[in-house]
Amino acid sequence: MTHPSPGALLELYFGEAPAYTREALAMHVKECTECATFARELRGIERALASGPDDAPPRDGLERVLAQVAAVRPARTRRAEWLLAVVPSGLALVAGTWAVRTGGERLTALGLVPGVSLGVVSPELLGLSLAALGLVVVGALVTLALAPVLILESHGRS
Amino acid sequence: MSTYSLPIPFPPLLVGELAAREPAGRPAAATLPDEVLIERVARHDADAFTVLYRRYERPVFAVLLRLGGQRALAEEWLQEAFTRVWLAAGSHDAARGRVKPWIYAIALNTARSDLARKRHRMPHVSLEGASIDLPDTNDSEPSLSARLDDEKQASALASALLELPDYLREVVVLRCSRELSFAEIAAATGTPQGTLKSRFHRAMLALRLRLGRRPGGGR
Repeated sequence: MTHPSPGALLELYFGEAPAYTREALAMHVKECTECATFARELRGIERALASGPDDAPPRDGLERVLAQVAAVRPARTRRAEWLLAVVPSGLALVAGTWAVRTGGERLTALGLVPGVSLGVVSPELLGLSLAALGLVVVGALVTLALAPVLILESHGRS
Repeated sequence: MSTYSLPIPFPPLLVGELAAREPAGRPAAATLPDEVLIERVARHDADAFTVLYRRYERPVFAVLLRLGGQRALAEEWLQEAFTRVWLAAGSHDAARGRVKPWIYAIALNTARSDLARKRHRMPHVSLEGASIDLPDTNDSEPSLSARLDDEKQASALASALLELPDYLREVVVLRCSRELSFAEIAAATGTPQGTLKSRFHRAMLALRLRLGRRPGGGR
């Protein structure tokens, strides 16, 4: 007697056998002691699994998950906050550099800062530019440092 | 004074706002399909997550309980798995598969990772593709089902299941949960259906062996 493959019997047992083979398989299992035993063993395994421990999930499962999410997310969002703070700070830095450079050129053109021509910077202008640039950098760093605090505060209020 | 705010909702809001609150005209979340819910979860919708959690907590927990054999372990895995579901919701690609196998895949991977961590110093003997001393066909042997007539025997079988290698136990537990078809288990585990059915059969043979049937019996 040719038996169906274990795979085919599994499909039949779990209701996954294609319609065109289902009837023939079912008929075979009905008549074949060995295949019927296979099906009984499957039932036994299912029963053993069903009669296992209490399936009820923990009552506070959802709250636990949400608490864990709350604990995980700030670490992740903090990274995003830093990224968001870096962008305006970087832009401020670039804009400040441009403003100092352009301002210096204007001052030179107006003759307010002596000894400057294209490509050559006087000590006075260099000092002025560096001081202004320093201010911009400090401003950017302060913004960067305060951004997460401001963000957290704003969320705390909302 | 305007405050600097980000479009990122903060989790503490979730805990206190779990009561159902659907705007008028919006379908109740409980009736929405998984695919819609997971999209909402990706947008940090706590209500959608609650519905999804309630929909799957019991079947997923039952599977984890049978994979781990200990309630405390299963609770830990359930919590970790659903935390991952929340955090990874945005990465779920509907084009690549349904939500249910995806959730089970996360739960399964959580259990596997934890088990692997706990066993990382223990030698692993793979039975896959290697010779395994499993019984051959012999009609004269008493069948497994003959020893499953009472609860005691069912309990013995449940214990024997826990002794199976993880990859064999997984397919038996997942399919017998009646929650996933072989196709869905294939999607969740990334294993071809044919291999899964073969593993299921190998698990049955191994169970016969573990329950005392000497080699040479069984289908």
